[in-house]
Amino acid sequence: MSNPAKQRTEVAASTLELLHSEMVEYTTNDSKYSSHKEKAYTVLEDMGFKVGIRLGERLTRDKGRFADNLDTIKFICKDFWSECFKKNVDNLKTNHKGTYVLHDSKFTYLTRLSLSTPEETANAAKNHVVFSCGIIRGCLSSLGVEAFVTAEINALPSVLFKVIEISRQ
Amino acid sequence: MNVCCICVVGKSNNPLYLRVFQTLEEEPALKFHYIAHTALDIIEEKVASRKNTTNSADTNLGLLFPTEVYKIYGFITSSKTKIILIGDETEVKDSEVKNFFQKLHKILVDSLSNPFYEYNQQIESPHFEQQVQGLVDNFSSNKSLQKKPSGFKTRNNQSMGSMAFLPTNANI
Repeated sequence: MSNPAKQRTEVAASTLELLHSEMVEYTTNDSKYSSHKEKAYTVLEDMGFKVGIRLGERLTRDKGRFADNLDTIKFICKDFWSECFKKNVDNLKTNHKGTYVLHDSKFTYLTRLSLSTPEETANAAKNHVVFSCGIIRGCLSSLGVEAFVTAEINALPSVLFKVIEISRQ
Repeated sequence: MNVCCICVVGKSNNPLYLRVFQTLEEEPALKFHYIAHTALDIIEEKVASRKNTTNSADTNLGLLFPTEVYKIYGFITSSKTKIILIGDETEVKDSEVKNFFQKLHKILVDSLSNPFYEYNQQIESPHFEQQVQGLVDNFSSNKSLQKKPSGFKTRNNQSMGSMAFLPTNANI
C-alpha cells in the first residue's frame, strides 16, 4: 500500500460505504442490544479495533519506527487518515500531556448521511463514527499507544476525535 | 550465511513463531529458545541506546551478538514485533540481511492481516510457513557457492513452529 504506483489495490468506495452503514444498522438495530445501546457500540468499536491493529501493521511497514507518541499521532493525521478517510486531518491540537484533539471538518462517513429530520440525522451520525473510533484506537494500540478514542459531533459533517492516552511509555 | 532459525516475538515479548531450519551438530533445538531469549535483552538495549539518535527510526538492528557457532541478527517493527534471525558463521553482507528481514516482515504483515488470525497469538498458518520456507530457500541458494562447514547437519522442512514452543507464560 505504501508503494502506490506498484501495489495499490483499489476498493470501490461506494461498496465500502454501503458495507459500513450496513454494519452500523446491523449492530445498532439488533434486538439483543435494543435496551443497551452501549453494548452495540462496544461490538462495533471492537470490529473497528481489529481492523485498526492490522492497518497499523500494514501502513507502517516501510516507515521505520516512530520516535515518540506525537510522531505516531502525526502519522495518524496524515498517512493513516488519507488511507482510511481519503483526506488529511484539518487540525490537530494537543495539551502535551497525552490528550489530542483531531478535527476533521468533512468526515467521509458523514458527508452522505441524511434522514428525514435534523434530529434523526444527528442521532444516526453518532452511530456512524463508532467504527472509526475503533479503527483509530486499534491503529494506535498496534503502534504502542494505548488510548481512549471518543468522537464529538457538533455540526455535520464535522467531527472532533478526542484521543486520550491511558499510559505514557 | 545459512539460516538456522527464525523467531518472531510479539510486542510484550511473547513468542509468536519459532522455526528451526538446521542445527550445527547435535544441539537440541531448545538452545535456540535460549538464544532468542538472550537476544531480546540485547534488542531492548540497542533500541534504548539508539533513542534520540539519527538512526532511531531504523528497524534493522543488525548483528546483535555472535556465539561460538552462530551469529544472531535482529529486527524490530514499529509495532514492537521483533524478528530474530540465527545464522551460521559464514560471511554475509549487512544489506542482504536487511533485505531478508524486509521480505520476512512483508510476509508477516500479510499473515497478520488474515481476519481469522487472533492478533498477538502464535502463528500457525500453513501459508506463512510455506512462504518463510520459500524465502529461506531463496536466501540459501544465493549462497550455494559457499561451502558448508563440516559437521553441518541439515534438518530441512522440520517445523518447530507449534510443538517446540515453551509455554506462553514462560515469557520468553
